[in-house]
Amino acid sequence: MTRRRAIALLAGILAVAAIEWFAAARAYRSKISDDDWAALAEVVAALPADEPVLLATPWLGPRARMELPALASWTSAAPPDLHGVARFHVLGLGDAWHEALDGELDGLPAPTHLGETRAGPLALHHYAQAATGQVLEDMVDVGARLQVQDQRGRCSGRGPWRCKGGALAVEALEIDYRPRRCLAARLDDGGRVTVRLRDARLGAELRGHLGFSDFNARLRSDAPVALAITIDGALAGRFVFTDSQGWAGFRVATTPGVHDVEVELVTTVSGTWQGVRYQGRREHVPCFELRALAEAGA
Amino acid sequence: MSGRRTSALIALALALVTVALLSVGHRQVGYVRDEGIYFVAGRTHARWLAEVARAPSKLADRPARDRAFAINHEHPALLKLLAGAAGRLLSQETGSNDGDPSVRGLAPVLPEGAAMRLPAQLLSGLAVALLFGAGRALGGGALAGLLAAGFYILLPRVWFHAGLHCFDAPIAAVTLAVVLAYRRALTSWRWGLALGPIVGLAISIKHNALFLPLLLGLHYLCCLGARWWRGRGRPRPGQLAPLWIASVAVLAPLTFYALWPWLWPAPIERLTEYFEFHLYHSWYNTEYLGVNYNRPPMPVSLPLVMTWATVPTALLMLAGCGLVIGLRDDARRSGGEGDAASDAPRFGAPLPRPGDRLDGLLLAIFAVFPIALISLPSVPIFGGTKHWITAYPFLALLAALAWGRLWQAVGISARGRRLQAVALVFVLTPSAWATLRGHPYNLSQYAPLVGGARGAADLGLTRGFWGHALVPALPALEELSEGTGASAPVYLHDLHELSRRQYEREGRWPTRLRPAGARKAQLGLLFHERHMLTYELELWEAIGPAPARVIELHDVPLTSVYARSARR
Repeated sequence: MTRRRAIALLAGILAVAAIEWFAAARAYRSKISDDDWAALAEVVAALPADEPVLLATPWLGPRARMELPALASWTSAAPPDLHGVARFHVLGLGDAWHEALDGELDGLPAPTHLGETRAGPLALHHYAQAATGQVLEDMVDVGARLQVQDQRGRCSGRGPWRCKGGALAVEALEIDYRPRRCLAARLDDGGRVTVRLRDARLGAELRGHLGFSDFNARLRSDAPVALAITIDGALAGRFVFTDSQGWAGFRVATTPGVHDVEVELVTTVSGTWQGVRYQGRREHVPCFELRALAEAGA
Repeated sequence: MSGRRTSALIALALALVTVALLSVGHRQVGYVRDEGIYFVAGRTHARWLAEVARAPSKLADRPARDRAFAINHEHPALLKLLAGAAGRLLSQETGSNDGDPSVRGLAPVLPEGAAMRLPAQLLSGLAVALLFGAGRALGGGALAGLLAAGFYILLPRVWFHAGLHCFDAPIAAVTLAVVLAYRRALTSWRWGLALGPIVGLAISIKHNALFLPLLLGLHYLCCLGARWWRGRGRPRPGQLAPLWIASVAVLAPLTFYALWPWLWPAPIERLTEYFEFHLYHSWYNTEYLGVNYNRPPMPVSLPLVMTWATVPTALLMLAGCGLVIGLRDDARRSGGEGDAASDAPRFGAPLPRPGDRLDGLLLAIFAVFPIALISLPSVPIFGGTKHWITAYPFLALLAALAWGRLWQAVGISARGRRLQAVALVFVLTPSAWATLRGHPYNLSQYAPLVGGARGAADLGLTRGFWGHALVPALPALEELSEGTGASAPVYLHDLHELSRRQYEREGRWPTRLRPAGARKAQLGLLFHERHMLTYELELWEAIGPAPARVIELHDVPLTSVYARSARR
């Protein structure tokens, strides 16, 4: 090896080591102090309760929920999407937005950035969404008004509901590696459950999602489910979902007014294939949510 | 004092410092998931050993032997036997739980877990000493030796694994020992003879060592082929079946068999079961660039990217230079050095000429193979860098080789030597910094250019596994359990019940807390990994989405403690 080449190689290696010194000085210390969290807690506490706070830096979640009670609300921690949310806030460490939030827009245009409030390295970004309508009904939040039955008769309870062929409950579940709060249907193989909401206030559309809970069950079963929506007894939409669709959205146009809405969910198999055999233990759980939305500006 | 003796003393000092720091420092490192069963197995094996020592006829008592070695027989017994023996020798008095009796060592100076971790830590001390010696020889000076030793032990992931009662750091140490012994076995019949038992010891630690004879054989064939190609004659009979191969073929299996009493009564049947367990090993979940992988094929790039993400780049550059230099040296070597009669190949010394031994290739094979093997899409998903940790000692030696050759080419004056020492500190500091600042969570630490734990979390790299980040949460668990009555149900998540019992035996587990399912828990632990959200949401349902305490590494949550009516 020539002296010149050796010097060049050593210089290159030492230059990289020098960069690593600077990087280490930045990386190996906490950026966020307790004071930063305390300052931010005051800001978040002053926000209106119906304005969710989402995360542009998802891994901040546990500490953020510990320090900022607003983030531990279901609307912030496990929202269905950003429809029906006219104003919201996004907490980030150097980020004002996260690509996962693009999915939450679910067809909405990009929101308007209204400004930011800083607390040390943390920033709370404020957004408005003019293109969304108000949520008129939310099936997940009206448990006592829901009538639930399966193919073997009426289910008991006012949420959770116990049926002869399974159970239905509002739960927070992992769907596509994100928390979602939805109506989880744990049914026998080939089970069917119908959920009826009488006198529902409808606007321009019914919008919902369906997904399957738990990565392990998704790994061990690909069974689809069918979901049908009827309004005042007339079929308004029929959909088939598989777990590869993640948190799959669906919508049906509606006529504003008071109507009876019914959701029918039909499963194929609910168990999973474990090692050498099938185990029908209701682990591949479909979970859905449905909201009635007014037109934007209504 | 001779240079050789000074070197030996430095190597010994490095080993002792390493073991002392591991022994003390790792009391802050949680008992990881796999350690729980290894602790129990170690105690069970050691009880049998003690009975045999008292009454040697027990050695032939098959039912007693099978009872002692049936537990955790998917791994050989040697390291667990050593751990159990260390516990019986050094453990302070423990409590007992569920039929696992109390232990008090003959010289009770360490908590039981620390005592049982000691054999693995001693092997890491051995690795450091060997690296210093081999690095010094390859790089032509003590600084190269220090670089090799520092490269290895100062890596955050290596430091983490080096202190555990697990098999990963020990198999890396013993693999290094095997390769160094093999190198000597090419020129010395004594080492040739010893190589078999050493390989047997390695296989008795972990199954990775089963590849060693194949890799050594591959290297040896390459050496013979290169020698022939260079016109130094066909391989002689003594070279085709040399002593070291006979030793490995005969003594390695015998050593392995002798050191694993589980095999004694039914070796074929039980070996078959052992191989099948590892051939059909279950797949793990691992997060890589924001995606959770839990089924084949695994991304081919994962081991390479994770190596870059956890080893400082300057060190990898040095290792890369060493790889090129080593292979180039091998290619250029004429094999003409030394023509004395003593250089004639023999059964006991099949490649006595230095020019016939392809040292660069030897290091390259052992540096590249573990990473390449795990890169194969068909290999079960193993998320942790520990599964190719056996490559790191050889990367360290390649770095030492490069270090020596580069400075040699520059030309070293007295002033240059001081500069070299400063440069050595300079290249090792990022690694040492990472390890120091990452302790006791170095399983979750990342290299500086990745941005440490924060950068890795942004990139979607795995946060950790094995439920390791716990010890600093124990006081919080104690505090949060106050006022819950005599018995509070706690959800353990990825903390294995047997690991929890180890804390309990040592009086470190809050006495009120008893394990329970998430939905019935008043307190809950959650070790953050992408695929663990399911379990966290069970805690949200039972307790609520706000944790009471969060254990972090540089702002990145590793463990959350959930508690009903949490007190801050």
